Amino acid sequence: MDILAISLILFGLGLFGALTRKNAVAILMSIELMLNAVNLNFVYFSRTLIDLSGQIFTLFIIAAAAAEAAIGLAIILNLYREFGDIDVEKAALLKW
Amino acid sequence: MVDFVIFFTVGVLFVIGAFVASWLIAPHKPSAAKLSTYECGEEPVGGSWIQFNPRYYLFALAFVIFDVEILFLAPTLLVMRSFGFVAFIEIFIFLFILILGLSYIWRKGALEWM
Amino acid sequence: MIFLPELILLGLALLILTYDFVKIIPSRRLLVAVTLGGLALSFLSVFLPFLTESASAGSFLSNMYLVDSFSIIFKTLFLLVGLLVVVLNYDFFASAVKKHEGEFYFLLLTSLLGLILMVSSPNLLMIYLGMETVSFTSYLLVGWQKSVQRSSEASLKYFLFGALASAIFLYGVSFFYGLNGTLDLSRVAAMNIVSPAGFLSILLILFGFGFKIAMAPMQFWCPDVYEGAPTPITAYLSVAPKAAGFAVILRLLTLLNIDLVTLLALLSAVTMTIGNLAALRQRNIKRLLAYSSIAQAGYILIGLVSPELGYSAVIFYLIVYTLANLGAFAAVIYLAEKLGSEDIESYSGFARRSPVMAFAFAVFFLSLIGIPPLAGFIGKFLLFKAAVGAGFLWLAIVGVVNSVVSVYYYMNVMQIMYFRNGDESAVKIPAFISLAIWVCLAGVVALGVFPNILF
Repeated sequence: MDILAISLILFGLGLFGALTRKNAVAILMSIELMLNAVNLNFVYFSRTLIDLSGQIFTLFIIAAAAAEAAIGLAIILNLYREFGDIDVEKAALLKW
Repeated sequence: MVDFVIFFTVGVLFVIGAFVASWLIAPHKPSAAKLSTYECGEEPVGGSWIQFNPRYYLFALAFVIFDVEILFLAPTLLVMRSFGFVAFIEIFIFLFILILGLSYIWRKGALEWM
Repeated sequence: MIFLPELILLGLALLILTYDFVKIIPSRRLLVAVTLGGLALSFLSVFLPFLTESASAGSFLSNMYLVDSFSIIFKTLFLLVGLLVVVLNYDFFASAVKKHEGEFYFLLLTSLLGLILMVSSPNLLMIYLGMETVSFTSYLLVGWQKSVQRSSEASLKYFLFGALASAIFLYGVSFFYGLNGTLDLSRVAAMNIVSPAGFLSILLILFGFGFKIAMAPMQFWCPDVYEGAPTPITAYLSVAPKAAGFAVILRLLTLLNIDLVTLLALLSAVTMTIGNLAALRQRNIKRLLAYSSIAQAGYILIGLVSPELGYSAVIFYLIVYTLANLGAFAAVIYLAEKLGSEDIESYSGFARRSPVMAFAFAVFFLSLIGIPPLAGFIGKFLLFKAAVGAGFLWLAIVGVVNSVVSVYYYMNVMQIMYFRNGDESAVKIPAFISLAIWVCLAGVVALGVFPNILF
């Protein structure tokens, strides 16, 4: 149970960071934190259920997270070239 | 379980305690020199993003492809005996697609040190 | 044989990628022709099992992949959308983007493959992988016009919200796995959604799909991304991932046999109301269509409250909505190129410059409103009937009131096109765009007059 609590805390921290940070890279890092919380959950359940599919899911999440980071950094870099900043509030041509 | 709770509580309290103590004890008199970024005694010039060189970034991306590849190779290796030739072929299809990606970035000139 | 459509699509994507860096014969026409040809081949191979009458339906790869009538319907729909988007893209790319066209088609084809994988699996791992394939490629496609600030910004917003939504979705999946001991939806005996953890996990999973279909409260990314993205991609995003999201929700509800009707009814009412009210004050046609697509997602959600009548109505309406919305976007692409503006005001008097185009636009909008004899009417009728049948009279009434509200903003565009004065010189419609428009037009009218051809 304590592992679930840790993963919940990790997830909460990530969610908090993703919602409050202004820096696009910091938001990306917060989201990676949330994904790690998910990984922890999967590995824990996989162990208690004695079933491997949770660990397999974790491997796929790690791979997807790497791809996501690569794509995200490419997009952020392009934003930096266009706006000269990676503050998400500076990029506000499109009104919410 | 008890060990974990003690460890966790002490860890959290230590971090909070350190911040609270420094906030209580330290004198608080900000000045321009104090607030500037410390960079080995040099005057920091411009934003910290200026020093970012996109060339490194392209290499990092190419690295990520082969970094994550291991993630799938290692488990395949473990079941290679029971699955036999099929697993061998499949992992080569996987590698082929990755190598296609590598040759793509090579061909597009991303690996040249311009 | 069974995986022929998927394999053709994958092979085509890799071929296009290879062609893009080898370029033995550098020709834009060849590239588009190969893409269209491959897509058409993949499209036809979906129907191959029907011709040979071999028993090809069933589950494969230890129940990771299903070939059933449900997935075949959606495969057909996605490949049709793919064909139409490539056709629409031909003229758009020539004038607006010009660079890296091969990569563009590679990403589009990969995205289509992701959509197909997503709707063909009862396993949450496969659904997740399909969903991420779609997401990653569409983040890049949205930001394709790298030197256009709006495009970069839209891409960033889509990426950040999408990544957040997928992380939240995964957290739900992890609890689903912990509670049921399996990721296979069809192996879950009885999901307990009364327990807090069970309810939370289903709620978080729905959140992930809700992001894809732009359901309230996850609709806020939609207008910004639609406005900033290249218009063919906006057209693609407004129909294909939305249909896939609904398909997966349908699969989830049928396989798990869980009762979420009250929640879905509330979400439906909120989604369509938000979409329609916000659409009333839009000046940009792409933003207007974005809010309209949110409202349409709300209408489609109505069908989810009734398992007996509603699910088939959802599929029917998704097909109708896809055709009407793609058609409307085809007209928008053409008008934006001709007038150099996406402002609704700039459409003044366009009906006199090109009566055919204005008429097509009007038909697509009337179908989105739900005026007989067009397909949109039948679709909405089936949805509302399903809601009443399931005892949700109030939801049907909310739907009708919303449709009446939507008449205002759709008609406003019509009125500007038909009854304002503007430039009067006649214009010519490029062959590719008019082909796409005629296909959509034929579909919308035919499904309205003979809805039985789908059932």
